Amino acid sequence: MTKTGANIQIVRSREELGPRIRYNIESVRRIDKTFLVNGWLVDPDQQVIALVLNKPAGKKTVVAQTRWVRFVRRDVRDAFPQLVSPNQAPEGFAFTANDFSDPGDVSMMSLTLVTRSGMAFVEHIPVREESLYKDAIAYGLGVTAGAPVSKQMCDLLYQPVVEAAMGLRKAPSVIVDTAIGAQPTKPGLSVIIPIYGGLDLIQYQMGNLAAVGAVDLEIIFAIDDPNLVNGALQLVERLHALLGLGVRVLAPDSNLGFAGINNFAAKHARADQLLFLNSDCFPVSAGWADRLRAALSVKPVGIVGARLVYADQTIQHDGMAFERKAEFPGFVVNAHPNKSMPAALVNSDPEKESSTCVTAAFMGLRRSVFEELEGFDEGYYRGDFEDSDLCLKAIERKLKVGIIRDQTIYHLERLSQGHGVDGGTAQKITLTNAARHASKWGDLLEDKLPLIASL
Amino acid sequence: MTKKYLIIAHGHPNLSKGGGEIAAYNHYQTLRDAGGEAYFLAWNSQQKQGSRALEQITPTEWLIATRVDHFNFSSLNAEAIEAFEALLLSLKPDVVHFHHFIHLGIELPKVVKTTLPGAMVFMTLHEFLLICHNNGQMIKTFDGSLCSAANAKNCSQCFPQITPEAFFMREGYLKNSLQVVDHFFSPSNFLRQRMIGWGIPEGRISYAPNVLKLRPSRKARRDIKNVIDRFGFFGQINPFKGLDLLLDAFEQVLTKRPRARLYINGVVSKVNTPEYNALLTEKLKRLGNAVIVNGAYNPENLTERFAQVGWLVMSSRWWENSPVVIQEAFAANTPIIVPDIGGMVEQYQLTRFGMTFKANDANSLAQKMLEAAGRSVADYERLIAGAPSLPSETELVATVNACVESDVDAGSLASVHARKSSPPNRHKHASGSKQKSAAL
Repeated sequence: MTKTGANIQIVRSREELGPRIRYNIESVRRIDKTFLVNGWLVDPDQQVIALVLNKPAGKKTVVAQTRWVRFVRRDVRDAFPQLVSPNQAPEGFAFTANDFSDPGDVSMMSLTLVTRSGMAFVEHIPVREESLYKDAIAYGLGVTAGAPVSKQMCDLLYQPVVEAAMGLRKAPSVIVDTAIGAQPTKPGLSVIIPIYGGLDLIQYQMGNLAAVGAVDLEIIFAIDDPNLVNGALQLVERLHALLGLGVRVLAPDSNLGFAGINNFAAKHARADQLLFLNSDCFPVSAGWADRLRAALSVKPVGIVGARLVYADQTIQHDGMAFERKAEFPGFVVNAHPNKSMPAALVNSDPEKESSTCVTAAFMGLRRSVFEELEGFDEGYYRGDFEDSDLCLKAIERKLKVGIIRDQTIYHLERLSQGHGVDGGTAQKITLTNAARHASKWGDLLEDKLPLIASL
Repeated sequence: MTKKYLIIAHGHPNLSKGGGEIAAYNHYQTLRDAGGEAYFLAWNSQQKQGSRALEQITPTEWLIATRVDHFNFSSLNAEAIEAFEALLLSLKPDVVHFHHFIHLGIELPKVVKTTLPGAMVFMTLHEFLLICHNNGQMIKTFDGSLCSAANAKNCSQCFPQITPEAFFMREGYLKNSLQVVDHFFSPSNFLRQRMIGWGIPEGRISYAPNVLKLRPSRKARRDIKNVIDRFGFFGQINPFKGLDLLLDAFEQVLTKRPRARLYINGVVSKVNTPEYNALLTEKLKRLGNAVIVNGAYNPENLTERFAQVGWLVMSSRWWENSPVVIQEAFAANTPIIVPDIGGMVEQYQLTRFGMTFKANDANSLAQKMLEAAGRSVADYERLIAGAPSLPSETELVATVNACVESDVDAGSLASVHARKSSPPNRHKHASGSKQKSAAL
């Protein structure tokens, strides 16, 4: 046992801290400049007063209790049934810290557990570096295992993890930018269609655009998965030979996510007007592109969305509003008024309108506006909320968000998403994005926002 | 100036003797017989390792090695498409007439229009593949019942592994690809009405029976007394054609008319399950010598085969389109007993040459067969004296050609939501290639 100046006794084993204290630091991960620490602590007598993280011999310390999230760990409870009491805090804990300068210069971190009686145990935990952003997010979202997602969890844990992970991505470079077939010399509208998770929707998009596209469209398939690029090129070549439609295939060197791939493609698009079109979204009315372009030329309209319908003619999207839901306490989520209503029965009534934003499944902007708004926020992981976020940026700059409702545009929702994550992870991602959205726009969301304009 | 024709089919009769292939080839030959300039391009059904994209059979006939995916019918072999474009540019036909799209690719009409913008593109539809993913049978996979119209949700019930959205997109893709077809033809009014129900505007699809080149052989009817109670099945042996149903009905017939006979002409389909084949074997065993299994039939032995029987019996469980065997029966002066559905009842209604029974009902079929077998010689003679005449090949080709000169309608194929909801009128007999339809 060693005495310190502050009457803290450093003990040599965990057991010396007390017979009813059990804990384990399971992992210390570094994600870019952020450390993620997780483990469990059983302390029925509430003897532990601090869990302190610091670099070995470093002065800067972080006390876990100020920022940790706690959650139930069934495995721990099963292992120590004699120590479980109904009033104790959940066993699991995890926290992040980005308070250290030169975070990359350590291979070990010190974790010190201090008890009420003045004893402390120090252990040195090797730091494991997460260098791939997807792996980092998967790990970070996984540390709470099956515990229910709370707002606090999103704010204190998932959000910092996702944000740190996003910092791991390097600036994308172009690996393919191939024009297949004739391209308009001066395109009026660049249609940006992100492709992720599979290629089959390209065929239906090309079939549809060959039938109802306009001559001055620049059609860009933005392939958000380097593994799909060769297949995409072959498919597009074949379909071009059959359908005669000229398109551009554009691909970055890594997966960028929904916001990232759209920003990337917008940067390389040639027209002054942009349409972000989900791969499962099909405008089928002849002349739809002219209709959109006309709506985009109305000032001060900044963003133009559209009424979208499911295959059965019920509404998929008719504008977005924000609401709180009992099942997600503390969160503000995007709501879709009139969703699933038969489109023919819904006549938009300005008096009853509650929508303020539109979806990016079909979203048109002038390039200048998109650049002024600095594109989609890439801090939203996997595609959610970046569309309302962009609309809110426009609203903040006094630009109007409009909607066209006289075109038939199908959105076979979610065919273009949902690849590769289970339901639980998908919910964590959505709520983490919701938390980010609320932390960015909280004040504005509580205000009375201008309603979307029916154009 | 006479027009130059390219007839395209999903098979060459040299390699595959299906009704559609034969009709397409006859179409081509009739144009040539009339002194016209016509060429024939068919899918190469016997592609082997090293098969070339285009192979010549005669200086005016070729095989093309296309491949398709069997959901969207999208053409997969880029080399074959290049060869197709080169052939189009060499021949420069004024009219390109597709008989079918299967094996070839749904986009080929579009390729024609892109390569030769001035060419007319026609298409004869030979069955319901555009509507139904279940081999175009329009039979529900889960209970074998008849289906009357495609619907993304219902189609997904037949194929639970395929989403309704995929069916929705498939339909859109097929329709978009066929927008360029100037005019469609259907060998039956039934199919025509089904296709109108699916979304082809009325004015863009005409009834034009298959060109069959059948030679009437009325002399075959010599021994009437001995054929009145003899029945013939002609066709592929598979569950859709319903031979099992016919055997059940015939077992009932034998209890009352032990001298009746059933002649089976056709071969067992390779796609049958062993269970179905075992079921047929067991039924045949029970019926003993009353059933004569003749095996395959072909144009050479057709007259002889029809001479053995007094009636053609069809027991199909699906709608059928325009069964060639019915025309063959007419040519052989043989009345028909057919189910009261689809392209079969249509032929009965057009000719009244025979009788119909309740589809998929062995008791109803047995009753009609007994009624038929009970006819007197005089009665039967009266019936066959009114055998329908067959349209001439030149008459049929003229119907099709009329469209070349006509003001072909430009109405677009109805998208899924605009599809006609009223049930098709199966009795309407339309031709009118000059009809105009409202744009949808």
